[in-house]
Amino acid sequence: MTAFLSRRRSALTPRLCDLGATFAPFGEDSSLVESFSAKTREARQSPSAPPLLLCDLSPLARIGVKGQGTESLLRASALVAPKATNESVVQKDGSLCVRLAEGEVLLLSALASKGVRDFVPLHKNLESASSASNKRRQVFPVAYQDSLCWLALAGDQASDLLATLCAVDLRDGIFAPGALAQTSLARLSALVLRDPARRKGVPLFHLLADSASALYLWDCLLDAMSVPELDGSVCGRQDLLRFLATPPSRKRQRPL
Amino acid sequence: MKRIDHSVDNNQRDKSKKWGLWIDRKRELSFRFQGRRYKGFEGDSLASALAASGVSVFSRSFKYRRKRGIFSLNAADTNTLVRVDAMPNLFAERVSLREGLSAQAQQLLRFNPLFVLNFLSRFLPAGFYYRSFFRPRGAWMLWERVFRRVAGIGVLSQRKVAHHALPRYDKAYGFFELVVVGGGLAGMTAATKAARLGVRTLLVEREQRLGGDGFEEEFAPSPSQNTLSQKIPAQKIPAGLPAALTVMTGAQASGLFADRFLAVVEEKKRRLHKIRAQACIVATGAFELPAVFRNNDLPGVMLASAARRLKRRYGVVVGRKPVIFTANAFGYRLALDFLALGIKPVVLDPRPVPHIPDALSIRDHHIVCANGVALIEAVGKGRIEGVKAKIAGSEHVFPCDSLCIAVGFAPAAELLVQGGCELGYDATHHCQRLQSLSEGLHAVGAVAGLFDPAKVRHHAEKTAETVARALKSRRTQKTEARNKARNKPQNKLQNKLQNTLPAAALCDDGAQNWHDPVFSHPRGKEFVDLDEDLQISDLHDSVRDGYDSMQLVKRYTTLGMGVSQGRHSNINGLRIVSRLTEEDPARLGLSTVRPPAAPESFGMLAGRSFQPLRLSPMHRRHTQAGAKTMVAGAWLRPAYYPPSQQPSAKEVRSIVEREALAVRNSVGMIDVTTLGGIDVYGEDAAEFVDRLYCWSYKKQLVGRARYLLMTDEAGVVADDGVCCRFAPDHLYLTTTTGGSDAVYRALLFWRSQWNLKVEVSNSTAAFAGVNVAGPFAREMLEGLCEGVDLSREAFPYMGVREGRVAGCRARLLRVGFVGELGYEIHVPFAEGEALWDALMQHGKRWQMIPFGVEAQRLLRLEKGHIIIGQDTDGLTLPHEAEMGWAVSRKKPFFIGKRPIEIQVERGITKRLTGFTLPARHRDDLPKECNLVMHEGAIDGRVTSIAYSPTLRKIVGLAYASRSRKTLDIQLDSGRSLQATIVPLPFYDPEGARQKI
Repeated sequence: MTAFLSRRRSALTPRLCDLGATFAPFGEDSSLVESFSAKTREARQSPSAPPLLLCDLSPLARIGVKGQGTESLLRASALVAPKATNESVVQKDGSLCVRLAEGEVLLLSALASKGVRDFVPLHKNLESASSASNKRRQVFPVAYQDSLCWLALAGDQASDLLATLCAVDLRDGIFAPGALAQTSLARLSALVLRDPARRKGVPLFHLLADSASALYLWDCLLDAMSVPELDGSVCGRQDLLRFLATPPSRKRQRPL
Repeated sequence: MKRIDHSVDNNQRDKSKKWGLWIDRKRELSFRFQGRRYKGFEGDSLASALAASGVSVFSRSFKYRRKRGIFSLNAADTNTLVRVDAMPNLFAERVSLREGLSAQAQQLLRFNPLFVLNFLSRFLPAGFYYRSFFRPRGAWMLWERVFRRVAGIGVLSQRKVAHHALPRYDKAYGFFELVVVGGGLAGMTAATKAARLGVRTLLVEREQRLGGDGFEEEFAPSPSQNTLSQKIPAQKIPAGLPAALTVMTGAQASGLFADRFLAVVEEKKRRLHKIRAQACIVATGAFELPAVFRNNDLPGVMLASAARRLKRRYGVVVGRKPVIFTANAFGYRLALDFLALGIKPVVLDPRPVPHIPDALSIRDHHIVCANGVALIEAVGKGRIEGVKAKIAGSEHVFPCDSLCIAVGFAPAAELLVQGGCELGYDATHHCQRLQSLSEGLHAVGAVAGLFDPAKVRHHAEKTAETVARALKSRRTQKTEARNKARNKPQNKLQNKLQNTLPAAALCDDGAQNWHDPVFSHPRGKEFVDLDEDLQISDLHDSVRDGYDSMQLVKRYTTLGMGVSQGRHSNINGLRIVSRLTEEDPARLGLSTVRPPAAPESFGMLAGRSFQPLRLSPMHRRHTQAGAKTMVAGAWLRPAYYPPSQQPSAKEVRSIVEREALAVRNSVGMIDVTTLGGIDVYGEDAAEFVDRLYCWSYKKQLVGRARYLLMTDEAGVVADDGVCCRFAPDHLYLTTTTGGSDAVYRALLFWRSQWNLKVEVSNSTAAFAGVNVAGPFAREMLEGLCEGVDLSREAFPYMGVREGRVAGCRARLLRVGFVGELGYEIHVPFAEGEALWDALMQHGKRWQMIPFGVEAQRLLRLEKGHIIIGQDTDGLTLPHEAEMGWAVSRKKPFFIGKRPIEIQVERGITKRLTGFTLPARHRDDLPKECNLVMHEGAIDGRVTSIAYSPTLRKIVGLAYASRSRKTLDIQLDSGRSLQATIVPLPFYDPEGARQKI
C-alpha cells in the first residue's frame, strides 16, 4: 500500500517516500512507515546497527483533554494521570498519559498500537461529556491528533543530538524517564517527552511539534544527526521496536 | 653586526632534543609558506615550524607596512596572522601543522611599496584620514574607497562555492555545575579537585593540550636541574581524570553572559557551545606586557613568554645571541633556560639595584647583567641586530639576534569583566587587579594575582572546595524545594556562592610588574599598540586635543581596537596618558571589555541558524502544479500558478487576472490552511470573545458566523477573522495568517486575567482549509458533501455547518472574502491533501482552477475588504479603516473600547478611501505606499492598488482626509496622478453575489 492512497497522510509523507519508506496500512484510513528500503539502510547505516534512530510516529493515535472535568473523565476511562505537571505515566495498555497543565493531559498510544481501539473508553466518555447537548460539560477535546506531529528519537546519543537544537538539559540523570519539557526545538515550540516506560536501556524521546512544521523539524533533526559522531539514521516503526528490544551495544565515548 | 642565516629547516631547534613537549621529532611534515617548502614536526604549530626554520617575518604592519614577526605567540596580536587555503586571519600559532599545508602572508612580505608610509608617518597621525579628508563635502566618499583598499587585514574569498561544499558550522547547548576556563596549573587543579568532590565540571582550554605555561613550569623541571627524564608529555596529563570531569581542548571561551552563560568556540569542530553553568572558575592566566621603545616591533623582539613557549613546547631556540630585558623572575628564568642550552644571554634590568633572588639565580653563570638600564632603541634592518641602551648615563650597544622582554603581566580577565567583576589599576603595585567578583564567578591563578605555583595550587584547591560545598548545598536545597512544592514556584535559593578572591597581601603580581617600561625617543616609532601602529606621539596628540580619558583616547587613537583588544597596549597606554595628564592611572579608567574575548570566524557567528517554516498539507500539490510561493508569516503560500517556469512581470499580471476571472465567472479554490484557528470552549466562551473583540457575540446564534475585529489596549486594529458558533459553549475563531500566534497568546493572557470558565485551544495546525469560491461553488460541492444541505435557505451566507466533504469530517463556513458565493472547508490537517485531490478531481467538470494569494488580494480589493497589516498599520483605529460598523457601541467593555471612543469624540481626520484610475495607467501603476499629497503636504498613502479585470479599471485604497473628491498620488518618479475617490466596495456593492 502506498501512503498516498490513505486519506490521512503524515506531513512527512513526501520526505519519507523520497527516502524509500515502505508503508503499511494503519487503522482504517492511514498508513505508517514500517521500514525503509535496503538501499536507504545501506546508504545511511554503518555496518553495525545505528546507535541513533529517528522515526515518524505521526499516524499513531494521540488525543488531548482539557477542562475542569479532566480528572474524573480519566478515572471513568480507567486511565491514570501523573500528579505533577510535566510528568508522564505508562498505562496498562502501554499508552502514555502526559500532564501538560493542571487540567490538561495528552494521551499517546502505545508504540506497538495497531491503530484501532486506541483510547476507546476515553473517546466514548469524551463524546458523551462534550456533546453539544450537554450544557454543563466540564471537559473538552484538544485536536492533538492533527495539530501535533509525533517523532521518536532513540539512542544513547539522543540527548547529545537534542543539545544541538534545544536549550533544556535533557541528559541522563537530569531529565528522568517520564519527564516532559514544554520547550522549543530549533526555535519551534515543541513537547519533548522522555519515555517513562524505558527506565533502563536506550533512552527514547518523543518529540511533538506543530504539524505544519513537521518537515522543518524533520530536516533539522536529520541535519543535526548527520555529523559523524552522532551517526544517526531514519527508521520505520518496526525497526524502532526491534532496536528498543535489543539495542546494539556501543560504548559511549567521553569527549576529550 | 653580522647577520645570521637561519633559513635552514629546523636549524633553530634545540639540538639537545631535550625540549619540545608538544612535538614528535620522529614524524616530519612538509609544508609551504609563501610558496617555499619547509619542514616541521607533528605537534608543531605553523608559527613554531616557521620559527624553527629561521623565518622571522610573518606579516607587515597595518598602517606603516613594517615587517613583523613572532611577538606574543599567544594568539593575541596581528603579527602572526596568515592565510591558510581560503581562510584569512588565522593565528599561525593556532594553525596545527599538517602534511602539505600551504600558508600565505596577508601582505606583500619582501618588497611592499606601501612601506613608504613608514617614512611619512609624521604626516599620518592617528585618525589622520577622518580629520583631513572630509573636505570638500562628499570627498570622503571617494577617499574612503582608497583607504579601504589600503587598510584592512586579510581578504575573504569571494569565490562562489556550492552550498553543500561550504564548511558546516554548528551550535550546541551544554550544561554543567561548574565550568573552569583555562587548563593551566590553576585551572587543572581547580577542575580536578571539584570533579573529585562530585561536581559535574567542564574544563575548557584554548590550546590543543592542557598544561598552560604554569603547568609546564612545574612539571618540566628547569634544565639546570638536569632531570629532563621526568618530562611529562602534555597529552598524558588527563590520564586518571575523575568521571565528573569533561575536558574540552582547543576551545575558546569567548563570552560570559548573565547567569554564567558561556559562549565557547570550538573552531576545529566548527561548533559554538552555549554552556549554562551554576558556577564558573576563571583560570585564564595573564598576558605578558611589552616595553615601549623605538623599533620595539622589529622581528626578533618578542615577549619572554613567547620565547619560553617556543622552546618548551616546540624545542625552538629564538636566538643564539639573545638579550633579555627584564624586571622580574620570569626573565631570569628565561636566562637560565638559555644557559642550559649553552647560550649566554645578556640580561638588562631596568631596576636600579639588583633584585637579590634574581641576581643570585644567575650568579654562577658569568653572564653580562646590568641594572638601571633604559632602552633607547632596537636596531637592525628587517630583523633585530642589536639593542641600544643607556646604563648609568652612557649609551651601550649590545649586538644580538633576539630581544626578549619580561617587564610585567596584566590579568586575562576579559571573561570576568564581562560577567560583572570589577577590574582596577593598583597604583601601588603598578598592575591591574580584580577588585571584586560577581556571584558564582571565581578567579584562580595568575588572573587572580597569584604567580607562585604553590600559592596557585593551594588557592585553586580551596576555591574548588568552596564552590563544591556551595553547589552541593544548592543541590540539596533545590531537591528539598522540589519535593515540598512540586508545582509551586520555588523561592529563590538563599545560598549565594562565596567570594573567593585571594587576599591582596597574598598576591604576587606586583612583584612581576616594572612600573615604567616606556622609553620615548625623539625619532618616534616606539609602538604602544602594534596592531594599530600607534606610537607615543599619537597618544600625545590625543591628550593635546582634549581626549584625555582612556575611553576617549581609545576612540581618538584606536588604542586597543585591534586584534589584541588592548591586551598588550592598554596598560602602557594608561601609563603614558597618566604621565601626560599627571592624573592618577586608577582615576583614568579602563576601556570597556565586551565579548568576544577572542576573534571568531564569520562562519561561527552565522552558524547554523533556525528559521521555522510552516507548510500546508497541500504544499506538495502546489509545487507539483508549478506554484510560485511567497512567504506569509511563517508559512509558504502559493502566490500564483504560472504555466511556465519563469514568467515575465506582464505574464504574472495576466496569470493573476486569469485566476481572478475564473473565480468571478466559474469557480476556483485557494488553500487557506494558513489562517489561524482557535477553539474556545466553556460556559463563558461567548462572554470571553465578547470582551476580546469589538463586535457583539453573546447573542450570536449557533450555526452562524460573525466578523471578528480585534483591537489592542490603545484601540489600534490588531487582527480580524470570523467567529463561528458550533455550540452554545463552543466558538471557533479564525485569525489572519500572520496573527495566529499573537492572538492565541493574547487569549491565554486574558483568560488568566479574567478567570472566566473558558478553555482555549490553538487549532491552527489541526485543520487544513480550502476556500471554494465562485458562482458554481455550490453546484460543484454538492456532489462531494455528506450531511450538509448546501442550499441557500438551509445554509445561508455567514452560516457554519459540520459535515463531511470527500469523506473528510469538515467544518464548513459560508463566508465571502473574495465577494462570491464561497465555502471555507476546514478538515483535519492530515486529510488536507486528500481533500485537495478530491476537489481538483471533482472540479474538472466546472473547469475549476486553484488560485493563489495574489488573485485573492485582487478579488478582496474589488470588494473593498481590508488586509490587516497591509491596509492598516500600528496606529490605525477601526474608524480610520472604515471598520466602525464592526465596533459595538452598546457593549460596556471590550479591549480598546475607551481609546476608540476618545479618538472618535476628537474626530477622525484620515480615512481609508477607495479610488479609481483609468485603465490606461495600467503599465504605470502607482505603488503601494506611494504618497497621497494635498496642497504640497503629505496627506496619506496608498495601501492597496491593482488593475481589476472585472471592472476594467484600476482600483485602490488609500488613506486621505475626507474633504475631497480626488486624490493626488505622487509616483516614484515624482510625477502626480489624479485619482477619483469612489465609495466602497468597487464590486457588487449590494453583496448579492456572495449571498446567492
